[in-house]
Amino acid sequence: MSRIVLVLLGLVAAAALVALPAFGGLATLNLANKIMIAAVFALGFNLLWGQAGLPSFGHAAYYGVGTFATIYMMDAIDRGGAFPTPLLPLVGAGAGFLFGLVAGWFATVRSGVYFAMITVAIAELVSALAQKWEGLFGGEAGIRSIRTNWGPLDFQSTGSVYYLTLVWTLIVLLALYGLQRSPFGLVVRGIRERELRIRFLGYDAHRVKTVVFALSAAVSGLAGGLLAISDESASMVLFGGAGSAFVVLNTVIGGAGVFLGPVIGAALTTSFAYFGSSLSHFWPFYLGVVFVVTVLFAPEGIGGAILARWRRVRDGAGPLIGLGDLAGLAGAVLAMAGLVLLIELTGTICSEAYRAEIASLKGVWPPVRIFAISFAPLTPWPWLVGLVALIGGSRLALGAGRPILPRLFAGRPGPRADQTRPGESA
Amino acid sequence: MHPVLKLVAAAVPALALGVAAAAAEPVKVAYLTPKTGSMAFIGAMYDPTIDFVVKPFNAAGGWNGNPVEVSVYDDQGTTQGAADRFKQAVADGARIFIGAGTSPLAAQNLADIKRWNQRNPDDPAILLIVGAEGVNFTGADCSYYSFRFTTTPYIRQNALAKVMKETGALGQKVYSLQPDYTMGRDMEAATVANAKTYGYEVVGTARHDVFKIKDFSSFVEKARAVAPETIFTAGGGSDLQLILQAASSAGLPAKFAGMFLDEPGNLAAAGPAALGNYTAQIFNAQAGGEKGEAYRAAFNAATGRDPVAFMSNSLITLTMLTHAMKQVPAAPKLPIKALITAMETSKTPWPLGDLSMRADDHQLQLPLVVSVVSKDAARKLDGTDMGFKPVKLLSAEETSMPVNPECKMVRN
Repeated sequence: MSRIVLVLLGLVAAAALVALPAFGGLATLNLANKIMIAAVFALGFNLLWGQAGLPSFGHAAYYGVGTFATIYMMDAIDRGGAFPTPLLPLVGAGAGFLFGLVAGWFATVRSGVYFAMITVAIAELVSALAQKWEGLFGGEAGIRSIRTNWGPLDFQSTGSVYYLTLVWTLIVLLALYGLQRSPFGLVVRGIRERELRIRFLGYDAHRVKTVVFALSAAVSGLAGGLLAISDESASMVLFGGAGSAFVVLNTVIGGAGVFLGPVIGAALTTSFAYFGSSLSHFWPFYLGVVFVVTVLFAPEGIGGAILARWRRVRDGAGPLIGLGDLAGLAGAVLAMAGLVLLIELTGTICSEAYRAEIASLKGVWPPVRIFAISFAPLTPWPWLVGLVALIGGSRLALGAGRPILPRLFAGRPGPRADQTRPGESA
Repeated sequence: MHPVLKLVAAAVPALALGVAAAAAEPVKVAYLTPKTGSMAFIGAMYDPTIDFVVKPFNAAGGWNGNPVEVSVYDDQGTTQGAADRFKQAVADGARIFIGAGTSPLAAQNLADIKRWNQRNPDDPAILLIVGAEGVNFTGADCSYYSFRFTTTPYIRQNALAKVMKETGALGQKVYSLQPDYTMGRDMEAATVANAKTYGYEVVGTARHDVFKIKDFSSFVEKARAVAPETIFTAGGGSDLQLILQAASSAGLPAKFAGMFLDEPGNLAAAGPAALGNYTAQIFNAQAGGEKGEAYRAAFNAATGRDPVAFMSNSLITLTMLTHAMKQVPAAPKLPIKALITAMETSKTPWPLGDLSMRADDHQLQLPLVVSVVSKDAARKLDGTDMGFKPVKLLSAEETSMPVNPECKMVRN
């Protein structure tokens, strides 16, 4: 693929992003905002994980601190403060940075599992504090504020928030890309690969790790600030474990080794959660399946798979999509359909609503509608069809001992046992 | 008549009916509740209540021929999810929101509603809070556009203390053991505030972390040291079960008085340790006499289970909403302000007595049942030989607490 095609693609994407508010509804714009916020958060997390090889499982703490700090600043603006509204995310970033500096100094004394445990402990500490300190964190009700216009700039509509978020997302992307390519970024990656060697070269590894931690926390805090601007509220729920878990999920699914991987992951899981929750109440289960499949068969994530595939096409080593890929894809779709059928059937007949229907029909089990088809849950057929589709599809996708799926994702023949995931090298 | 004519004669009114039905614009109601995540049990509890109220209302013509369409939105139990679902529901055309989650979720819903109304004063939306008991919703955060359809810890503590005092079960020495979050802190404040009114002494207070402690024996021993006769708690779920078990196995002679003992599964999990403890209930079929029993039977026939805990609050919310709608005259679009007025002024029949919405702070005025866990209860729960035996049914006037002075409602 030539450079011109890439530039053209970039221009089309940019035009689409700028024009989105013109044809997207309120819900679409909100989704776009949430995707960008999740992407910035995941990028911040991946600075620590992908670049420095430090797996933090408590990043919600810095995200939440950024949200709260920004809400307080918004409130100050509302009461006549002079801070410009468009620069609000910097407040979140600053709060995240300061907190990250302190937390990072302690956490980075250790690496690997011990580091991860310290980050979890710090996140739990903040979470417990937020629950008890009602004056600062607003208790159960949380705290609220409202966006204030700044000069000629109006920030009342979702569209204006979209542009603000878009600009900040691009700034973060460029800054992080620059950081990655800078000499400092090289030292950080050096620490990931072999910390001892970096120390022998004369670098203070602990100081570098502390700074990276603080920068990562700052980007997470900035994401939190963007959330504050979008939702205009903050509550202690932000500090819960779900936030810390989702950012790991986004990064793993998207690919930690690729710069834009976390963005891809954030876009996929956020859209999935957004639409999935109105389609099926079992969407977290499906997301879990996607996560497990990714870890097992494509540890480099979707971003890694795309990159590998693009390299293969560029080197002329294979076509963009081969016959085997199509078979694997068909198998994966079949297996997913079978799984969805089984899960939805089980879930529906176990639900309160279904129990109510049985009661109102005086004990008759009504048919269950899935994929716009009615299934009778008391006959063995739907269960058999689901099982056959799941097993058959999986076998097709995995190619009976000759895995097609890994090749589909990794873009190379055969499983790759040699690769190390970030965080394992420490 | 010619067969073809017959067919036409039959088809014309049918078509006309079809046109009329198509012209009827549904009144969209968004029901925001957690359906996934660690709080999914809350959403599951509310599911059967929606059809039970809305189906007969629509069958009887709905709002002047317009059916009410309730859509459930899954807020995933997070404030961010709640904010997202609000934006989605508003985009879908809903202007009536039912917030059926915990206090943080209801606070998020309320903030979203307030800002929507601030930005769209000609197209306002209202929030009906089903289960959030935070004092702020009818206190500092009270709003013309939001209504609370449950109690506060103050209302429940007051009802418990009143009835237990009358029957002599309360005693002189009272202890407060609370979960350490807003509701527990409110319950503690209520327990302390009512000491003079009901002539007891608060001999001690303690708070515990929520859903983190597995062994409550140290809390039980701390309480035993001051020998209380009654212990007030706002604890729920596994916390409450573990507290009851710890107290029972340590032989603590005090009674517990709480608000969440009738959540599904609590009696079965606590076992005989639950016996003799008091709870303030929203609904108890036995206390409602024939009417109460008929309501329970109708609900059971339609849904396969009895209404318990916050399910009753959802039933009350939907019943009062549909009842108020009947009083709003026909218009091209449901006028929200007329609905608010109807909500404030109408009395809604309910098996335990009339329900009304106080205009000053939009706090529901409702009858409460103070019950004791007993083997003599008319209905046994959760497959145990225990149930809730009503001690006294308090009317809406008796349970009412004064308007929170922090509530400064702007009526526009």
